[in-house]
Amino acid sequence: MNTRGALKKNIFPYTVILPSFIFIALFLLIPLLYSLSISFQGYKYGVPTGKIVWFKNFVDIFTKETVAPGFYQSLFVTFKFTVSAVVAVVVISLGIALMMKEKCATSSLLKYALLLPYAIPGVVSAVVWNWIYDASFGVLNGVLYKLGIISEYIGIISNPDLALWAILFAYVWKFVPASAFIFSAGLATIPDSIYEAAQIDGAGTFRTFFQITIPSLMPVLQLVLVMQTMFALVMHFGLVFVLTQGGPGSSTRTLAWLVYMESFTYTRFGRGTAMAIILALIMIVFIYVYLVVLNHERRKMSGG
Amino acid sequence: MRKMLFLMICLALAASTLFAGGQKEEAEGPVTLKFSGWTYDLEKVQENLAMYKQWVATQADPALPDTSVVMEDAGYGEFDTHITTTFAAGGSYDVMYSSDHWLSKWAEAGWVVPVEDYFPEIRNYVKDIAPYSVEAMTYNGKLYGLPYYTDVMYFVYNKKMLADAGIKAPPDTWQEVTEQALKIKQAGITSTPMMIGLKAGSWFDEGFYALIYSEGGSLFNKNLEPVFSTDSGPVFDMIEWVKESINDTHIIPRKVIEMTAVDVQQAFKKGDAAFAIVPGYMIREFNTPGISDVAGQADVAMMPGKTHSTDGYSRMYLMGNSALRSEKVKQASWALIEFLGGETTVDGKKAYHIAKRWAVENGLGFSVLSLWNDPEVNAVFANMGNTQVMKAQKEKARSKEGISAPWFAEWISLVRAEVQKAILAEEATSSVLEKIKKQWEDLKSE
Amino acid sequence: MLLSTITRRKKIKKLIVIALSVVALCYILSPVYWVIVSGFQTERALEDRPPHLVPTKDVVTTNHYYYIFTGNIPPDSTLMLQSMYTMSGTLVYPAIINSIVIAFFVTFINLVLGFPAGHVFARYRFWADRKIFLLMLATRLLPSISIVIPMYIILNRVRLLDTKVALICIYTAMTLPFTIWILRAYFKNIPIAFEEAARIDGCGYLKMMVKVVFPLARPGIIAALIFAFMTSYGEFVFATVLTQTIASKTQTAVLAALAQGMSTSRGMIAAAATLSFLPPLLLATIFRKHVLAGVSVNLKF
Repeated sequence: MNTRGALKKNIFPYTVILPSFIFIALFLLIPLLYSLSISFQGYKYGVPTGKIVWFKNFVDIFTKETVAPGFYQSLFVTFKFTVSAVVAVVVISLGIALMMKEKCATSSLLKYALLLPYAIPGVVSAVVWNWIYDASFGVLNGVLYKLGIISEYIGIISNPDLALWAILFAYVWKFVPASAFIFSAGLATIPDSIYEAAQIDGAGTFRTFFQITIPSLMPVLQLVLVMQTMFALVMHFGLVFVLTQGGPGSSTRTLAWLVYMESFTYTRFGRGTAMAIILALIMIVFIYVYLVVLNHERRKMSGG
Repeated sequence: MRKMLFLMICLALAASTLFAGGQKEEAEGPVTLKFSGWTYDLEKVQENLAMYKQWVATQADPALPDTSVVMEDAGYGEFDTHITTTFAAGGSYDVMYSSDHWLSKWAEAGWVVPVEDYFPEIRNYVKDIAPYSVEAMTYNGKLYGLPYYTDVMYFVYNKKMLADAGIKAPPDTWQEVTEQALKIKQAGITSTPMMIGLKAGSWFDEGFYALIYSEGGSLFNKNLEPVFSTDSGPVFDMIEWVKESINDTHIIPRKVIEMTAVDVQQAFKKGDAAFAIVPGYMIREFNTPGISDVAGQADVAMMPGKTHSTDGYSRMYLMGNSALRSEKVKQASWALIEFLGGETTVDGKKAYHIAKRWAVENGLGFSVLSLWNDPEVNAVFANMGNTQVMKAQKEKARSKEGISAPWFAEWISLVRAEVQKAILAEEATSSVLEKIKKQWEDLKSE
Repeated sequence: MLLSTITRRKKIKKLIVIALSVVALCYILSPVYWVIVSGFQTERALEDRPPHLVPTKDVVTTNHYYYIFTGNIPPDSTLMLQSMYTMSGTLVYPAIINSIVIAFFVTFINLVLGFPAGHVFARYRFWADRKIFLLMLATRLLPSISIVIPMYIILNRVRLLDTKVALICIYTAMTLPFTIWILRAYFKNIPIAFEEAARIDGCGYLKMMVKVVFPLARPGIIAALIFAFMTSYGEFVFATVLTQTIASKTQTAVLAALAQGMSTSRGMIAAAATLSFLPPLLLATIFRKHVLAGVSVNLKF
């Protein structure tokens, strides 16, 4: 009786997890593995050549003359965008969360307003931003013109220096709310008594922020950084697809965009999935860095 | 407990509706064709398909079974992706739309089949279709389909603006375009006198080729070898002209880099531009009062440049490899292609019925030469502008060189990004041309 | 420090916060405002420069919505604009309903499967604990575009292409890892004492979960479920590639197709966009407290 009970206890957690695991295995893991196998195959014009080329696709990406320069450039653009996006989202959403904490007239307005970009599906927001930026009829141009800031309509997406930042602006708009909510919840768990004590001790706003708020938010910050990095590497795709298609020039050709181009426009599925795998590896590296660095920080602050 | 059970049953019933759709089994007897096209005037397409079904019924041809057509559509921008995914994963369509720049890719992969091999009578159409269109539908010397609609890039100008600036006649050379544009700009009529859609995408290709062809330029010969010089000649000159127009003479606004031909159309309608290079079907709106701010002022002139040639593009109907699965399906598919793109006898009249419909009702261009003789068609196009000029321009249209190479899609994607850099003066034109030449050669040798 | 200095500082701080909040509100609200307002303007009005930020009587119209719901060209629109009203416009609200249905089922499955799974990961220590967890996380790494074709092949083989079921399964697989992750962290913050007390009182596992754990964790569960709903409602890649007819097309696919169509009516797209974000907005508003409650602080890996 005892052993049976013990066995039941041992397999019990597995039985609970099993259905979830089946779903994930069937609809994510298997296609994932299939993708991996595709990256090892040769493809010519959308049709598998039937030959296993092992790592040739990967090697080509890094060294082939017709592929590598574009790849390195996309790495550069991706890096630029990801870092800016993560920083922007984290800073702005933390700022908004702090503002919501202050009990004043606008804080509850903010709470409700944030629900809107969160609720709008990504593609819809891409289409809307595309119009806002339109060089001939866009409302952004219209407002700037009315305010007298510009004397005639300007092209934003057609400017290689501005295009990526225009995408960033639209991207941040969509992704700030979720992080703001998470930060808000995190802030709520910091007891007011700590703040009051700090105030009595004479600490100014900045000192309070850096010595109390940030350390207490470390785990949340970790979560948000990881999430936002994962998103920034991939979720800008809708915006690039609708607004710039990788242009002008190559100023918005990110790695995610390149994966799409390789797979569907060039029909080189082998190379396309290889690039996607490289993208995933980059994601893993970023996340690992966060976990290691931030855990170290946490240990430093809580221990010591 | 009973409540739970009831809830479960409801849920199960509801869940069963989730299986709605899905693939239907192929039944014996009546044939169902799988057809795919992009999302444009689907109502009319459905009407055409209904007419096809009726026509098949009246034919009472034993080789031609009772046929219905199921259409699946996708946005034009994703159509290539849609077809690629479908076929790459083992699915298929019997008949589908295509654009000229996808044919070689799909044909090489074996997803579409040369209709000529199964129905040699398709060659009878060659004499009645404009050469650039035939070229676009041919791969490896075989004809793959019939035209849906084709069009050329026209040089459109605003008569009133020219008159206001004291210009007597539309420009004949690109030098004159610059001069006239500057005059119009100085007269304060518009600050962006010339527009052409150069956003990375298929409209870029049409505009780019139009510019090159106008000066008699050529990118590749019959053997798909690059024949353009990287530091002189028409290709170099035209890129330089656009670069100067944006950066030095300022007659072309920089925002054209984010404009497709559709955006150019909208701007021209508003009176933003005096000259524009747009596909034919867009001209209809220019002269329609109530829609256009410049109604009555737009007209077509021959493309400036040494040879006045232009680029012509084709959209066509192709036969997918699944059409070969049975003799009946094959016959029905060919019948559908011929009904939509060819000449059929309906109600006793023999004509290119569907092509004419698109021309008359939607103003879509056509490559069927005999349609010019139809008074209705002529009337519709006369409304757009000078039909003599349009006809002459069509005769000088050439299809895009290089689209017969399966690697064209990959190559042109690089061209768009690089030429944009040259136009924006970010990189020297000669180095850009060398890059694209090298890319072509590399892709060719693979 | 003088009390007066502290109060003054507080006041200045409050003013700065209000000023910044106003800026943030403008940034957040203006695109939404614009898309709603555009849906009610005539096509000509939308081409005016500068555009009408506050629509006046002569530019307001409900034609776009009329077309979306009835499929008939509004009586007072001109001949040319008819070509702008492509048939896809009528697909908008069936597609929205598809999206809602799919998202609903995904959320439901997330609840039924993710809730106990999250609990188990939090409470039990067993062999593959961390490894399975990391595996789940790993499945989120590849961008959808690269697994689309294998997915298509699999679905084609089981004849489930163009069905809502297929999308539900895929989205469930996509959202379960996050749900489990969030719930696990949440549960770790809830003292196990409650559950132990329930066990001692003789509650079976199921009863304990439903009567004790669920109410305690409700805010976290709802937050995770809302996330699942939003993700599946707005998903783009699979929705456009794996669906073909309106039997399974979601609003994401229809809207993307509309926006791509050559010379489609801008006003109609704006109206369609407005309609498409009403359901998630409604949901977010009803559950706003839970959306804001969010995630627990103590997140361990």
